[in-house]
Amino acid sequence: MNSNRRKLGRAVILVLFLCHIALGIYTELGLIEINPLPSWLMKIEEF
Amino acid sequence: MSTAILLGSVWIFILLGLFLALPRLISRQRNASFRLGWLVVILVAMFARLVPNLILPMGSVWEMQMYQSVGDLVLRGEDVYSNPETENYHPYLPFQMYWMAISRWCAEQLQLPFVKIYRLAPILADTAIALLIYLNLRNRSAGFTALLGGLLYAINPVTVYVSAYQGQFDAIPALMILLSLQWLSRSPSKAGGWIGLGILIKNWPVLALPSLLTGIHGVKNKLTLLVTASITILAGVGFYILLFPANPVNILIKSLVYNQSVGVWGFAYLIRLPRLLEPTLSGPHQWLLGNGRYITLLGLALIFWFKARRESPQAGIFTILLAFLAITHAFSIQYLMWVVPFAILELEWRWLNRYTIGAFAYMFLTYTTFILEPRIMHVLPWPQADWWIIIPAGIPVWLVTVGWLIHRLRTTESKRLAGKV
Repeated sequence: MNSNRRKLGRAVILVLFLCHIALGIYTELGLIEINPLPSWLMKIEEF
Repeated sequence: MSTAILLGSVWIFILLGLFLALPRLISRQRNASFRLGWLVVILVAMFARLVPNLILPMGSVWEMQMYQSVGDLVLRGEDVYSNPETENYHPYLPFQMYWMAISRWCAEQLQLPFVKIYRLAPILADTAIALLIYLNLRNRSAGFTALLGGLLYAINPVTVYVSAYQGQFDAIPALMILLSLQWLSRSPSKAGGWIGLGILIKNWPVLALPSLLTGIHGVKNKLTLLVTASITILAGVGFYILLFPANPVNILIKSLVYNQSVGVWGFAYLIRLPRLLEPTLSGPHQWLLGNGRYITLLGLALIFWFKARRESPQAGIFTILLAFLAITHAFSIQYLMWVVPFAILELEWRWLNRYTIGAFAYMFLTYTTFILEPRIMHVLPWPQADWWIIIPAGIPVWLVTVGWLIHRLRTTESKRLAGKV
């Protein structure tokens, strides 16, 4: 049971880690652009 | 991707791999004698940081511009705190600005990028920290543990990112705290001098002061530490006022009433989130902007009272710095290096591994796509890129700090040490 939980934890960490790295590399290489922007992303914060 | 960023990325991945593999890599040498361990630690720490300093002609784009402007004003003999050009550029007491000025002058004389000279100070401080960790651990454990501890700091990618990529100088006040700890039992006045200098450089070493005070016996010794720390700070401010046409009240206001970057990390982001999705739901975040500092201070005070004051000064400082990362309302990415030296000294290596992996992921994304080269705006415009990519990327490492803090609060110091040394 503990061993399975540990494996699952490690898998989640690995996936999260790879997502961060992939997003960084893809952005740097100019491979991602969110266009058109969904409206909920464009809410303007007022101070 | 520019060549500099590509090489910088490859280098930091190598360091992460070495950091994670280091215990296994040098475990075969467990019984060897480490007579030149100190030299190995110094050389590795320098090399790990000088390579990216050489590769990267840029640091944090925004911060390096600010530091250059502050350096220019100091060279011109103008007051940094009242000048509209640099109004919020130096939210610290007057000390680090002299290095900004020296770096600016050297960069012009030598025709080198400002950032490459400026980063040398935190790089040297990091090297000194690695050496201090080695010496400290050598006094209380085996040579192997000391070498491993020194090298773990020397190649820790979080600290390398902050000093040798971004160019932030948090390693210098961290070094001052370690020096203060080093002198604490032998000379309260020297310990006070070092912590005073740390506070003069950046404000956050004030977090170490309560643990330092509880770590020495006798009212006279505590007062000596407080007085020498205060004299050091006042001497720094006085020296600045002698040199520049400045108002001391203005210096204190600009240095101490700093409340920026609220809602970019941890629980504060979760409170800000409803406002980002629906601007009319701005109440909780608005309240946090005005009162967040009191929540953070109250949380730290409680953790100090119920936990840190019962620990050794070194352990107490670590608990408080970790608690700060877990509960703070305001945050900047360089804060991530604060806990690293103390975690190594406390032999919390397993949690440090988890923390380094989480912090690395967050830092890789943030440094590569925003701090060193602001490319993230090609994916989303600003500030949406910040709200939906950069800030959420910090949530995993924040959760690690929360888990680490809970673990620390649940275990006693003697139990922790019994399982490690």
